[in-house]
Amino acid sequence: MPARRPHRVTMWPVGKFDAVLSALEGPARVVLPTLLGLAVAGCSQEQSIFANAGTEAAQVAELFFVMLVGAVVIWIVVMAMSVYATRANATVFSDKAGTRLIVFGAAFPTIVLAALLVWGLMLMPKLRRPADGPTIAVSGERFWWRIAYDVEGEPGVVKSLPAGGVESANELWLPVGKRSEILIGSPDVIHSFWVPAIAGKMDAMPGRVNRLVVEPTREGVYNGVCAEFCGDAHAQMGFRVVAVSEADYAAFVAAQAEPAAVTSGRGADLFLANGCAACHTVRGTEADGAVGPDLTHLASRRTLGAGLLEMSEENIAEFIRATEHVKPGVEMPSFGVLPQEEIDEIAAWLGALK
Amino acid sequence: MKKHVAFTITGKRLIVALGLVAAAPFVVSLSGLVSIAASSGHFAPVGWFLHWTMQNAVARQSLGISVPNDIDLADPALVQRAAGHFATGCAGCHGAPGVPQSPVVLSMTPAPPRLEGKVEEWADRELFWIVQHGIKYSGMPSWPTQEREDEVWAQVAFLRALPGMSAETYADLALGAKRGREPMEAGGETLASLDGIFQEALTDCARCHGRDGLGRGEGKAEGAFPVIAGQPETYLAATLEAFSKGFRHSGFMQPPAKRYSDETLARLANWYAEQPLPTPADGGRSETVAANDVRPDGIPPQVLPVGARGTNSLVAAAAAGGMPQQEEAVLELGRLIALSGLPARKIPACESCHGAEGREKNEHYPYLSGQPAWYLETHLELWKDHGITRGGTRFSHLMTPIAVHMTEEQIEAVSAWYAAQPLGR
Repeated sequence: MPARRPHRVTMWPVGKFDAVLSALEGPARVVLPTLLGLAVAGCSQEQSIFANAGTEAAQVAELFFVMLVGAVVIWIVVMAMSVYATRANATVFSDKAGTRLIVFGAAFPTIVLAALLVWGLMLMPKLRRPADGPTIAVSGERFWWRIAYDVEGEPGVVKSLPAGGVESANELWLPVGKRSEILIGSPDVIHSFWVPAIAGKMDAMPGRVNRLVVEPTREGVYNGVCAEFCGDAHAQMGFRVVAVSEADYAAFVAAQAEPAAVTSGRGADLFLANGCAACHTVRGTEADGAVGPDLTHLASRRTLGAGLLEMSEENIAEFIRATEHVKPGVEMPSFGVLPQEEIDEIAAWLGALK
Repeated sequence: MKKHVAFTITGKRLIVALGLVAAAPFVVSLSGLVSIAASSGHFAPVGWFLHWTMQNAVARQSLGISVPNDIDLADPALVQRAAGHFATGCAGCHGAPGVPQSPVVLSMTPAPPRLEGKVEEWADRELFWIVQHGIKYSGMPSWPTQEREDEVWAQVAFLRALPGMSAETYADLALGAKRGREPMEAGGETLASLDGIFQEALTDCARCHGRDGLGRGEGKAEGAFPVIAGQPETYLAATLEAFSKGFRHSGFMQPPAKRYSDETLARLANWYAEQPLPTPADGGRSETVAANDVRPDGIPPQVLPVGARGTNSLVAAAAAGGMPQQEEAVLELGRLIALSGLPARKIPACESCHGAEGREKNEHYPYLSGQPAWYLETHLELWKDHGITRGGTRFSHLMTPIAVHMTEEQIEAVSAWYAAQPLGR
């Protein structure tokens, strides 16, 4: 059987350096773009705090830039003073001048750091404002994200997810301009929810529920990651955040609440026959397992395997056939024992679940 | 007058001397004069030295072994379980009650001893070590797999019961007595379609599983064997194939599965698949959990009294995988796992594949209802063990991630619940 190569989602802004590249000659043609690429790779991408699209990320970015500029200014002043003292005017200090320098050396950092602390503390209440948008439960699980929209009431302690809500996985939709409340928990180990462009990080702790209020300010698709090492596939535990208008959000949740688009056929039969339903739910069919991700609208998501592969029928088939190869450490067992033809049938059905 | 021989040890001479010493065994071996004849026996001091070495090795190397808590070596079910294997695996050399040793095996050096008088010389751990590992250069084989300590302990239990066992008891336990040898007359069962080898193979199976597939063993030895009657034919055939090819490890089952051709194994699978169960399987929808039985947190009320369901105790209970105390609570937890699973602990419902509906869709999934608890427990533990691979049908690896997430309490609970269900439901 020829090995199929799943198409991976690229996060590198490959095309953007072409113009610069063509203007260079010699070794610089390689060295310069590499250094430049390493320095700024992703700065304007969907996983960057600099291209922020949320109030919290914007505040963090602002804090970062103020500190960066301030630190550069202070560094230049200190360097200038040391050049002055050792080169330009290399004379012995008087005791009086020395004492002044020591006092200044203690007072200046104290004042600067105190100011930063006060400013930092002043930023916090804004981040903790009550939500005025939907409540969404997010459960970090090895190695994917369970998501339930528009949940009500207090979250359950053990499952870390409130009862009710519209279940989905690995793709978090948010209304722009609303402060959505994310209830974050975990049934197994500590994970951390982080969408650099919008907000975070917030730990997902087994046995308790953490609360994070996020406010996207710009429509778009952003990357989220698990920011706390949680096991083999920690690095493959990503998700997408889709920020849309309020109307689109409502329409999305309504669509997700619907049962599956196709509920019968050979693919569905094979899915049920081979035990997939023990772990996965496809609403509208007998499949009601709650161990793994809800697949009712699998094909509506942008990625497969928690941000790992692009959503396509071919990739679904590959994920079923060689799960542990595609995503080492994954909790789902590989179903390579099934004939390829049956895997393709199942993938075709799942690929039709928009 | 003394003569002095002057001899200086130089580096060169030392190397030559060491070389000669190293070469000496090869010269002796090459000469072909070493006595390797079994007919001559051991030169008495050599025989003593070899035996002494063996005793020391067994005594020392078994020091880390102790009887597991869940094993009772006096359990008649364990004796029954290992008896059939003793007949085909051990008695051929060691003899058995009512079975004399052949002059052929008595012509071995060392000659295999009769075990009735020998087992008392060894501690449990030492017997376990010998059965598990065998003894090099003596003709004593190791257990066919190193992954089934549960079977080795059953064999030790049988050895403990061996002294004083009557020939009749042995014949009944190991050879199936009448019940295994003769076709049953009731129920219209005939042997018209059976040929010699199949008949022989079936008798072989029946020594433990009975011709009806319900498993031998009565009274205290009841439930010594898993029930194979009425299991899906595909499952039985795939399982026998796995034993035969060594994918599924068992010192008891691998040898008989290897004895017969694929065709005979297929007919055996067919035979046992068609054996009726004592109570007809209801075939209807499997039992469902009443809505009010399961609380939102997934822990049944019986496991944790409502008064103790504060956040802290709840979290502790969940982290420990539940802490059932009484039998009712154990069964309730088992029922919950079997019917609904514990999604928060990554355990799907067993019944989604092993229930009547699941089996209808895929013939590779066996029923679990009515199987002895020890059997289900043992195999869940095998799947749970990271060090070994519990093979079986081509779907058997699906059980690994499930068993890995189960605590021992959960395994015990779900096994107990299934054992209490009607057979083959």
